[in-house]
Amino acid sequence: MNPQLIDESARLYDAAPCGYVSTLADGTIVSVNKTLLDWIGYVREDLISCKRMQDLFTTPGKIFYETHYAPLLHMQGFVREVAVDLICKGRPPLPVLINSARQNGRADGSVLIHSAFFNATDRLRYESSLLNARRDLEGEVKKRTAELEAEISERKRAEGNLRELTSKLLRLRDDEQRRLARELHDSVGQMLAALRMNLAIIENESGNLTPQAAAALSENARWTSEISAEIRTISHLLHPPLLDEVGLTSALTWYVDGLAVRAGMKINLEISPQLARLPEEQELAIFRIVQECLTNVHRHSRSKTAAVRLVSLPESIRVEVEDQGTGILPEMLAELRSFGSGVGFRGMRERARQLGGNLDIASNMHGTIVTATFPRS
Amino acid sequence: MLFAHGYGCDQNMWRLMTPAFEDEYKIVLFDHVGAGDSDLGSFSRSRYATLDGYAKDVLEICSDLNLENVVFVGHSVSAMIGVLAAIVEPGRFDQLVLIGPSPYYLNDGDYRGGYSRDDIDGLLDFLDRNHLGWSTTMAPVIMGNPDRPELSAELANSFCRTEPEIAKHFARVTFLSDNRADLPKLKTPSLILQCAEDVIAPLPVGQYVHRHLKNSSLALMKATGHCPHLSAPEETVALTKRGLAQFESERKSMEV
Repeated sequence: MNPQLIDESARLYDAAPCGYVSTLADGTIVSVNKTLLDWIGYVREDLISCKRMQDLFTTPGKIFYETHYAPLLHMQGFVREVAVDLICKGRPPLPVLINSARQNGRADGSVLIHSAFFNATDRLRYESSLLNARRDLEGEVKKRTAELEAEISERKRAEGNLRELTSKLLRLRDDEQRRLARELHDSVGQMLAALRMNLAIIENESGNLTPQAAAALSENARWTSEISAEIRTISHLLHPPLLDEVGLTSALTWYVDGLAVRAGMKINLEISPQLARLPEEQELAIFRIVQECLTNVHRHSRSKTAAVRLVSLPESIRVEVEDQGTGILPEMLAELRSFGSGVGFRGMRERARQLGGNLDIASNMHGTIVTATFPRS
Repeated sequence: MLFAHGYGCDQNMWRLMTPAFEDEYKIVLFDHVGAGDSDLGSFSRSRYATLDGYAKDVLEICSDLNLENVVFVGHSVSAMIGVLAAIVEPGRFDQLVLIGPSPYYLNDGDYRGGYSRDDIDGLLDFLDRNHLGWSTTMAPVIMGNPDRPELSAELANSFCRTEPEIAKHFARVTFLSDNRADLPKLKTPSLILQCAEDVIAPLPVGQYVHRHLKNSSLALMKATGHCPHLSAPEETVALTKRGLAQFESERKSMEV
């Protein structure tokens, strides 16, 4: 080669606007250009053959060199754009970007690694401002997430409390209704029976009464019978004794027949023949749900017909109450479905939930259907 | 032979070493969660809060693949992960080959792990500047197409591709875990391969490990640095083979 050109390329090597280092495979420096020496404040003799490239890095860079840089060089023969800080004599560390490439196939069989260093002071400055912005943002997101999580858990707790309260209320009401039903039957009912017996004794003597007194007496006897029947109906609606004594099927048949007469409705009751007796609390829950639904149908739907179906499935029991009424307004339906607002609906849903089941409602302008499903215990 | 890569890159690290054992052993390679082609969705901060979570992964690999008489080869932090796994299920492992092990990277009184807490904090900041082989635009493409390796080849430095947050977490767990108290619990025989001039796991640390592991032997290597299986695969293979043969003859003489 032309000696002038060699001279020129040596000058270019030394004065290039980037640092050059060539090393052996283990990092030992075999050549370094003046640009890099000037940057870090060393002379050539400090480095050649006595320092490795990684010795120029600050500690994190040294760790990174061993865990990432060296393995990458071995595996892919080059490394691109690694940001490290160089230790400088009497000056703070200098941020640089390094590209390295391996030169194989040299005449003596050795391997050389050539690396170019680029001053990255400004780049690092805006990178760290970006990084700080990202960290601030992440901190903000974390904070907000924590706040939201706290809010959610507070809401969940409140919901849990509400559910607990609802179920406690339901239990109290069941107990209270059962107690009232028994009281009405046992004490008022017994007193009315005694009254009727006394009236019968007097009626036997009615020949001794004036015709007006005899008529009043027989009217009293009729009233007493009606009051007895009324009290018995109220007592049985509060808590049907059939439910405890014979079971859900009889209790529902009795209830549906009675309501059909009282409300002037046609109610179709279908119960799977396979449905055997269920646990007491399940029978009570199903009875109450059907009762609540049919009361709603009677009060709100303007439907003159309704169907109640109890379907026995292998894993569960499904209860459906359907009417052909005017339906529930969409916005109210949405509220019912999401929050279970309305004491009656919330109560039904809670009864289903307590026994591991669920309850859903669907409605349009042609009618409404409530479906409750209970797993077999 | 089950090979576990260390902190930094992925199972590709073993590619110069495994061919030497393929005839005699079934070779099992894997990527730790967060590295290589692992399923990032499996990462959990709580499971991997200590090295025990990574050891559990090793044991799950063993049980899922029905591996018995395992020779476990672990590099760097995975050497300790192997020790922890073999303490939990000693019956599973025949021998451990520990390349550059360190039970604790920090200095503590007379124990010289090599680093201070500040150094490690500096490393975590440093990692934020070097998300090697990771770009948020490319990563989902690569992760969604494990069958198209050419996609990941488009990214330079892809062998060290690790999801940045997981990488930082792994660095923290790796460099701050103190497992010195676990060493005496290991019953499985082990071979320690100690490089010359290893700044990650220096000689005194290798000697410390050797002193506290019963039934261990320490082989000092000519290779320098922290990755002899890449920089000096022949020496690493030869020492490993010698260690395995020695173990085999010891076991035979025990049986006699």
